[in-house]
Amino acid sequence: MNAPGQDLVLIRAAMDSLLPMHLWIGLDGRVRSVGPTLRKLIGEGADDVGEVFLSGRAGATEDVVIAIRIAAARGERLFLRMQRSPHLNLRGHAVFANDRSVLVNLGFGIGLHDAVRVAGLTDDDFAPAELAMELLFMREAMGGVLGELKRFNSQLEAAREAAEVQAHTDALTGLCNRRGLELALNNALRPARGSGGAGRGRDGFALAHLDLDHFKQVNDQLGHAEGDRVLCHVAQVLRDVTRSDDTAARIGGDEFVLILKGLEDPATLDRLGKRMIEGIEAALCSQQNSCSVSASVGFVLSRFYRDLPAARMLSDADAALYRSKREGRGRVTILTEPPEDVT
Amino acid sequence: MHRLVIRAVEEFLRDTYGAAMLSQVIASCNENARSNAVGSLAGPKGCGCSAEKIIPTAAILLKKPPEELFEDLGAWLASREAIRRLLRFSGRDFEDFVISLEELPGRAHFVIPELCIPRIDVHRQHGNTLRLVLPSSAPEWTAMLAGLLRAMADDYGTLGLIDVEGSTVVVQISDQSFAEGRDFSLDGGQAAERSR
Repeated sequence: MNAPGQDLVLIRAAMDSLLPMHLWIGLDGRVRSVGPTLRKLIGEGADDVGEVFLSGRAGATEDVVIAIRIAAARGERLFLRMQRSPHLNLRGHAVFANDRSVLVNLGFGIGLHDAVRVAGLTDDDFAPAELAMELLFMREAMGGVLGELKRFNSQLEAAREAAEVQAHTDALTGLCNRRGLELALNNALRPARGSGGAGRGRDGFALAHLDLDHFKQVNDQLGHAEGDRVLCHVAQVLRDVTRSDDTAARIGGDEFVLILKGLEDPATLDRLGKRMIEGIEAALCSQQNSCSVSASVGFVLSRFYRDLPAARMLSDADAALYRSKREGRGRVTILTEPPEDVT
Repeated sequence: MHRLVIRAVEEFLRDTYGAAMLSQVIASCNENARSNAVGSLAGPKGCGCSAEKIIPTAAILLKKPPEELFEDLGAWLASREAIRRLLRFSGRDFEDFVISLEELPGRAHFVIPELCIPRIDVHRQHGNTLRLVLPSSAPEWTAMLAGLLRAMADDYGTLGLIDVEGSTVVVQISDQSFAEGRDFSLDGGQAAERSR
């Protein structure tokens, strides 16, 4: 409740304490008093407002003292830059006081951190009611937390990548698993489809389905550990015959599938198939026992499957493999055209 | 449990007792978690158990009382430059700092809303004694705060006696300016980042 006719009078020390960022200007534009914090920013001795400040409002051309008086008259927000450090734009408001003088109170806004750096401000330079300390605290706290979150993010990303590789890898042999094969086969079929009839040589590929012969005996007679060793040996043979953009996958107990990019010549594939079989047969040759292992292989060529689903290509490769099995195992079958639909 | 907390606890153990001890603690935690049918949250390298479990598990392995380990954790936290700076923002001298610990849960909540620091009530007793009362349900926080206060008294260059009585931390300040405190300027952001 304001009693009429009672005006507030403050001594300078009270002003300095309450408004450490104040500026009191006489009608002549000379500084009558400056709060201690603002004094740190503008430096000692400066007492002509026009020499210390610039109007901080965008595009302002008028004299800064006039700008301050206009802001006081209109009750508008006031922006002031310091000649010494013009990158700091202080903001505040101005009110008329006795003798047509003007009292301005200023604050830092978002430039607070820069002001702290420029003037070496401390906790004592801010009025307790100001949120400056909280803002500085938040700035550092958020910076720290963001740094940690960034760390977590890259950790999660690395973990996700590792999980994805694991999801597509056969744990025993390190080859692709069925999921990895399906992905690779769909990728291989995409360019083969997109290119239509042309570019067949560049995008074509062969799909090999390979199944071990007599593998069950290995497991039964020599134990599963030896069986696993044979599977790893096979994986190594397949790795040796494939190049970096080919795919080798183990899709079941002793079933393997290869995607061989750019290979469509039956004679080359036949040689490659025989080399794989020889390599696989070497797995147990050093052992003096009745067990032996070999492989049957079936090939199909991508150029017949441009309009057919990937699953059909896999099942035809399987059919080629079974022809090898029927015809006596340890051999290669290459389908040079898709088999008749057996429906 | 917030991952920041888990990471702080893991870093504390790695820093103090070495990576081998930390892996042992995590392995033991994961074992317990599995036997309690609690799944692991934190991926292949991290620990799936909560910070409240990590410290007691470590305490068993190190044959130390868990409160002692929580105190060490508090002191270790205050020694991290980034955290030390955030703490120093709260008070211009040690007494001011202790009094403003009432605001600590609020400040922490402001930055990380999921982080639940229990309420801290600061009471001034006769002379230069302050009592910080925490809920009796949070003994680990009481221990941690005691460790943190000892380290911060050092940081401010204050001679003080810090004791735990139940869930209360008793702070006796005998000499505010006993020694030269460590340097603190508001504009230390870059320095803090460099030393991180």
